[in-house]
Amino acid sequence: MAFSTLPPPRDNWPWVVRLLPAALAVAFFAFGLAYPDHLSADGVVYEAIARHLTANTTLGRQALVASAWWPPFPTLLRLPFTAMATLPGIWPIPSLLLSSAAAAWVVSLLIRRFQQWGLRGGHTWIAPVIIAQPFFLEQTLGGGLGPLIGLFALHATDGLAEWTERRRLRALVRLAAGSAMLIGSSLEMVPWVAGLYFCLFFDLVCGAFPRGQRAAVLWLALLPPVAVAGFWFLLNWLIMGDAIYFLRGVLRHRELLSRPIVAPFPFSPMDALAVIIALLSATAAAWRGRRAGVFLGLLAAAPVGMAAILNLRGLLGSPTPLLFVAAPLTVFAVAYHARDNAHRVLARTVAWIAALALTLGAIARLPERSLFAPERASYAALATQRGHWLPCLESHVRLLSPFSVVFVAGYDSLALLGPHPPPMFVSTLDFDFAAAERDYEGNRLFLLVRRPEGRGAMDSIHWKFPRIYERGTRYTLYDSDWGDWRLFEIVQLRPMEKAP
Amino acid sequence: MFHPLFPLKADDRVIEDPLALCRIHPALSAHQPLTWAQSVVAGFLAAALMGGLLARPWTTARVLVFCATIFYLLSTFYKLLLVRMSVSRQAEIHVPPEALAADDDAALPTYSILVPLYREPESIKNIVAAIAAMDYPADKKDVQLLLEEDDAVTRSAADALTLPPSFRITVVPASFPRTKPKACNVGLARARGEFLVIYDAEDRPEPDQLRKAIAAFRTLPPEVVCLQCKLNFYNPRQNLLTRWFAGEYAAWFDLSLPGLSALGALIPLGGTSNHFRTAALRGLLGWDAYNVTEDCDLGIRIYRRGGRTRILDSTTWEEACSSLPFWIRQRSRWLKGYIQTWLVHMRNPAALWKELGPVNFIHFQMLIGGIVFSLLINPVFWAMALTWFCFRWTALMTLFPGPIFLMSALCLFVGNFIFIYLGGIGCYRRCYFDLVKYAIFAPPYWALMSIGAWRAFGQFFTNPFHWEKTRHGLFHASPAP
Repeated sequence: MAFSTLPPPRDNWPWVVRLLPAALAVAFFAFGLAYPDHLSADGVVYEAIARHLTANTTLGRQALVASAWWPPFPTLLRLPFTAMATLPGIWPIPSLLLSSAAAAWVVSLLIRRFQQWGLRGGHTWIAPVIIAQPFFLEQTLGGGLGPLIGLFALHATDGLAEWTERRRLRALVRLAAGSAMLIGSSLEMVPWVAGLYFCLFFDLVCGAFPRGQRAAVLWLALLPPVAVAGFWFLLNWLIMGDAIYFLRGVLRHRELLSRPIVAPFPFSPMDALAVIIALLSATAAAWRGRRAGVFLGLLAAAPVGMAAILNLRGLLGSPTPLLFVAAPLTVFAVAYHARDNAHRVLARTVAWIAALALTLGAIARLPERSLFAPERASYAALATQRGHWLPCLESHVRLLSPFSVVFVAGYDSLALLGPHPPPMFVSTLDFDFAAAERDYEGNRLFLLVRRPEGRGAMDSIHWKFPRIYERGTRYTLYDSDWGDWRLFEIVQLRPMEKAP
Repeated sequence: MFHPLFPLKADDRVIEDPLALCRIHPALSAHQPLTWAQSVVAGFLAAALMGGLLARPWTTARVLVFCATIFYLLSTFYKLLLVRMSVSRQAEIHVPPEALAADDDAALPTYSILVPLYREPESIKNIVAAIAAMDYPADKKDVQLLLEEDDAVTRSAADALTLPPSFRITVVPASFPRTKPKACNVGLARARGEFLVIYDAEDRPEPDQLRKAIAAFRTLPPEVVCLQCKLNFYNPRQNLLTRWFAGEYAAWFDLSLPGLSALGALIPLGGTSNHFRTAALRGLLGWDAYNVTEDCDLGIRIYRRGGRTRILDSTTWEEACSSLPFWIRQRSRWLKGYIQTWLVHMRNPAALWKELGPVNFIHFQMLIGGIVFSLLINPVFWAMALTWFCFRWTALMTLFPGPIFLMSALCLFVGNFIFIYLGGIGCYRRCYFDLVKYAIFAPPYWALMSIGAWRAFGQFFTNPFHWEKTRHGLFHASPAP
């Protein structure tokens, strides 16, 4: 008699496949360190928040929750590595660690699924093709958020596919956990998560379930993302005194944004081809009655469409994770379809075309969407700013008064000032004139505000004091411009006058 | 390799003594709640704590908060690990129906079934019927109803029944301590079967459970001396308390224990439906008559002697305690027993480390000490969180410097959510779909558990061997799910 007391059958993965993720992670990390100028400024901001959190500062707690554009999970995931961020230089080592590990995990997950789906041997090339995507490399080697978002999205999608096919509880949990992580990691992924849940609802409506199971599935699927959102509201209420503080910039984005963040949308014919391939895969799955395949195809095609819509509304970040996740999801969808013996040759051909198209597409649009190109996005650009004009600004202000204090508004201030800012510079995320004057009585006060562009346009300084960059406020006097930044002197308030 | 505590010969009479463990290996028995050395260490720790709180109250409090936070964090990860492992192939033993169909009745061994009863006249009829209905040759069943000498009510009820031929009544002499394990030891001495199982009076085991256990034992190595079946309730929807209780049981028996089994870790046995190789159980000198969670203690002892326990995929349905006062008493007894068990095995930590190995030593600390510890300190942290949310008492912040604050916040928000969510997963896995939503409202249930823990803590010092009897028969529906 031989039942489950026997050890499980050994999978016959080659040892290379087992070691690949670790090797890739190490390689990504090493390359990232070798080219610190390409590191993403986002990583520097998240690490600065993590450092402030570890130091238990009010700024750290505010920064963790106060903006939907800077969600909490990327910071929380960096916390264990924060000690490393104090190493000489301020290379965002935690960011690199995270992006390298996440990227390696993405590749590993893809290869594992290909193995399980019988796409062994020569067909594991699809995963390395993902790595070859220039956009993938940019984000991974730059310590960007893309790989992490890609990993969560892939887990959620994988969970949905497995749930739709096999109704396994663990798949449902993976779907829910992936969605929760996405909600807590990227505002732009929220519509995509909504799409994912729409697929789940559709499946629940169409499938046959015992009494009560549908409700239970919904509870388990919705609870994690709802909890993440709920905690975010709660923490805003506790820390900022306003439960929707983090959303205020988004809610008023139309009046805050003087121009779209990425204009025009970096859309290339290759994007269209990738979308077409994903939609073809969905159509083929629908033709064959494979609901999971339909979902995968639609979810793979969705990011590019959603990015276009968000771009029209001025809500597309730069770099956007939506365009990052499109490639792995498309490959995943096509590979899912390719596992079927009936259409294997056709599907393999399509998979080859997909991979080729994605690679060519990414190469074609590299110059226009590269992380390295936008001046404000790279760490190198910020370091240059810090190195060049920040000391000049410090001297300028010190000349006016040795007891000057410069408030640097917004999340970008965390990247600009770095881990060891000069003592006269103070980052602020929830600036208040009255409080500043009260807390720094006797000092000459200045406010440094960045040009309202992209995510920075939705920082609280801009929605609390609309058009401050262009016109100042009744409490500020224009002083000078420093790169993208504008310096205002804060006018001392009269005793009976209250600032907003 | 399993090493019995006492190498019994066929004609050895020592096992007839229900207090054999205490007499032969007193160091493994809870008859002495605290040893002299433990009292000294406890006194020293208490003095150090008091001294610290008097001399440097904030620093001492900060250190305590730090230790508790680290513990909470580890507990959360530990729980996640167990749940992750519970879905592995080795988590539990599934016996397919075809394996049972191939069984030859003549080749089946005699199976001893012990049913300890005390003041449960209303349950006796049901348990006799449930055991009689089990799919096992009647002449191979050796059923003992263990009745206390002074329990006239239950004895009359038993006398009024016409018991099937394989049933017999064993009278347990009235003596101290008056506990279930002592009764079980009396039954063990008279057991005739090669294998042995315990059922409680209100149990309804799945009919093929004995066959499944035999099939599993035959394929398992001899060091696996015990199979723990899953337990759950036939009255989960009776009231809110039973709903929560069923969710907790589902999370424990369907997630945590299979997870432990997959890790090859020690398993604290759960009260009833433990199937043993009788010889091995005798070699362990049976149950500790002084321990009020003798099952948990026996589970640890099995591992200390090189034995192993596995989880069998068969369920015994019990009656969930639906009355809050009785539930609190039951919980107090369990947690008091956990305290006893932890103290018994920690009398010589070095020996425990050596016998269990480092990994199982950690499992022991997390499972036995950790559960009680977390339930005891939970109210303190809830009170602090509530105080902070309501009054923003800034002095509290000084207890949570930098990283500790972050870890505590993580435990408060993420950790608690994980525990809630795992309750929901447990319900789903047990197919209690309608109970999933009740898992979200489990925190008040945790508060009840903490009340039970503090009651147990107090009772450990005042009445350590007192067996608080859980009252059953409050639910009268008959068929098991």
